[in-house]
Amino acid sequence: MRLVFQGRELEVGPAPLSDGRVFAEGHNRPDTVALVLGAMERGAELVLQNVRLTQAERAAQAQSIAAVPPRASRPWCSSPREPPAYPKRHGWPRQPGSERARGNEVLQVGGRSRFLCVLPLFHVGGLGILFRCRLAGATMLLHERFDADAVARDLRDGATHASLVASALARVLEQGAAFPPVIVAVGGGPVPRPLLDRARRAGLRVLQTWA
Amino acid sequence: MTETCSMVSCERPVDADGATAGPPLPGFEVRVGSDSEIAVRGPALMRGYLGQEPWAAASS
Repeated sequence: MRLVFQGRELEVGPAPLSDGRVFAEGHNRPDTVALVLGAMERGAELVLQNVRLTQAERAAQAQSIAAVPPRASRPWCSSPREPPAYPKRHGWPRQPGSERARGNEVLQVGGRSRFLCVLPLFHVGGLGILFRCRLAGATMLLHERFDADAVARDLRDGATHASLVASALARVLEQGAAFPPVIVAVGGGPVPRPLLDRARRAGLRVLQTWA
Repeated sequence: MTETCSMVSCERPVDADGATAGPPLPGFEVRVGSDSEIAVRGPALMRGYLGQEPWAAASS
């Protein structure tokens, strides 16, 4: 899939996998994208660790996950967050891609879209953007971490979509009062009405989301 | 939220006004109970916690 990372255009393919489970730190980097694509292709379990956990928390989580054998014969995806003792297990969609593809229609994500991803790939928020881009053939503008100035630059310079939490949107709006009509999904918690109004006045097509 | 594997509802670009979080995305059903508990059904919900019995019956 097409990726822009640190200003470079990349074509990232699935990493070759030999095991039924992929366990890695979920940094927002191209090699993580390759692992996700590899897991999707192979139907392997995917465990992306929250890189914000402490070493002790990560070790405890790794231990709890290692105690459960991978279900190599079934397509599963694990995306643990906190608490480390209770990692969560997600399944790939039962009809792979179909629901998310219809969601892409709602969000108007297509092959020419450029979806800014600053949400962490170890969380479903970031993974969801990766899945949407993969299904639509869209380009993912991957940011390693949130930087309001860098996000504002991408919003002005060709991004068609973004997904942000309210606090991040507020910081981006501090970078300027006018933006192109980028579709920005905002969620992860309540979004103050004045913030939505301010974003709309700035030109962004903000969409409130839930869950 | 993590348990729903990404968004369940979203405003539509054509009529977004910030008044709500929009209707459910295709494939999802949302019900608000009399006690205000929100129940969600859809193909992307998590199947349970690692090492425990799947919740397949509840989420299908």
